[in-house]
Amino acid sequence: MTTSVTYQPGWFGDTMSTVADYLSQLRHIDHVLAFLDSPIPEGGGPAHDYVEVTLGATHPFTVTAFVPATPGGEQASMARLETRIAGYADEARSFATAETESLMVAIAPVLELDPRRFASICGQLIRVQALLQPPAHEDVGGIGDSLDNWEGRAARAFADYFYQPYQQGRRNQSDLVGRLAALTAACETLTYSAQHSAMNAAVATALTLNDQLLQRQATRSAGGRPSLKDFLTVTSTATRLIGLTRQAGPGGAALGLVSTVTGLAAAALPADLKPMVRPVSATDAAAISHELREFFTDIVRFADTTLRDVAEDAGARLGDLEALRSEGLLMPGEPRIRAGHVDPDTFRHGSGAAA
Amino acid sequence: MTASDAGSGAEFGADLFELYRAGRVKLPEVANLFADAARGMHHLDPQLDAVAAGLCTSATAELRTLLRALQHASAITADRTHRAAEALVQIANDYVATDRAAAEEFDWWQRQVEERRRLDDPPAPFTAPPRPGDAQPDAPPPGADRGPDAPVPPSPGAEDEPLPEEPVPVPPPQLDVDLTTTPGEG
Repeated sequence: MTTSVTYQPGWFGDTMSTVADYLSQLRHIDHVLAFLDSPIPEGGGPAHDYVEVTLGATHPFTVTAFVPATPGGEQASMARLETRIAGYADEARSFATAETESLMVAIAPVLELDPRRFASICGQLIRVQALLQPPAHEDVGGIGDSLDNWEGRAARAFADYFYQPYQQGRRNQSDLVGRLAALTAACETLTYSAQHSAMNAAVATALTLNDQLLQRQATRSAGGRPSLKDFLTVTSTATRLIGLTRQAGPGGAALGLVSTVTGLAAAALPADLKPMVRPVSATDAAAISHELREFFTDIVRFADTTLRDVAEDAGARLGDLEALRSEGLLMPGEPRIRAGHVDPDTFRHGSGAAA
Repeated sequence: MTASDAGSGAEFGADLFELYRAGRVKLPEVANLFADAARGMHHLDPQLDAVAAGLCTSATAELRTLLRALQHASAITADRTHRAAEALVQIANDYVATDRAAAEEFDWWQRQVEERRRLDDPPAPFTAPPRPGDAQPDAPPPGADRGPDAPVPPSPGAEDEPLPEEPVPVPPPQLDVDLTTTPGEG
């Protein structure tokens, strides 16, 4: 069984509160049970009483505690037992609070990302790309048929530097905007996926802790068998999104890529990411918390790596842009005609030259 | 310059009219298209800046650099197209002013074309698009961020209105296992 839940800030906070509560309970139970099972301290006399101690709040159970005879009498022994149990409770609460705060700090870099901002930016870039997308056979200005009839230095310069490069430049600009949109879509997908993974890990941890508490209730002894609560995570496979932006062809292919990547981003947990299934296998509070920290660290590392891939790919696209610019394929050149400057030598009609 | 130097005849008039129409109607449309694209990208600059934190810092820095380079290209394209349009109109006007036969042909064509009314209208206004680093307008453009099919806003504006702090409320997700179930119940 795997968990797949939608990340929401409030829901994540509630889940981590549950984790803290369960961590505290489990640690307290295990410490008290270990204490009660420990040998009678040296100098302790024979037992003169047994008391019922209730442990756990979520799945409570009672155990019988041995109260050794001590010089101070039964009341002093009971007081020492209660003090010890209360001390374990304080320690467990402090442990759980510190662990949970540390876990929240560990996952904060992923939680502070806002996929909606990337989605908004991506949507606007797609609109810009659609705006720049050239018609199949664009004749800018509608002068393709008549331009050849004009001669002269300025007429040729206008045709060669402005008119001819125009369409390719427009197509390349549109293509690059599409690739930029794809990169922002990848950021959006990454952010969603990382946050879903964090949520799933937290829920699986809560489920594991709950199962361990149930086991303590059933066995009334410290320790338990692994709960093996599985959860879905994407910590290594989403880099394919960046690969897609590198492999995409020009023009329309880039637009299709944006649609594909945006479609992935829109899913709760993108199916194409092939998320891994990982188990929470530890059985005591400290180890379970440690496992969750490792999951969070992996998720943050994954997000960081993928965002570095985004940066690298954006840098590569900038290189593409500069190359296109240097080859005169990014935008039309200066028209090299000036308003009010009519000169037969520079812009004349072929009929005049023939005459 | 004489008429015979520049050209003559019906074809001259027709071609002259094509130059005029390109400069008067079609190229200004293209110039404004690129200007709108440049404005659309200009609005995004502060939005990318807003997500530049923590893990995103290096990625958004590169994305902004690419965005600004593309905005620059679109703005340059808009400017050059606008200047080309102005020059073509002026060239056509100058030739018409110096060649009576061409002027008559030119007028005949002007009466035939579908763009007659648009040719009579004032030239489409052209506002130089913002360059990377220019100040952001204060107000967001109308229709901004209303969905993937919405057109790029035609006027300068900012697309940097803050997103709501909390997401739209949705029902809590259903867990596969209830956290409080006992073995066998879940």
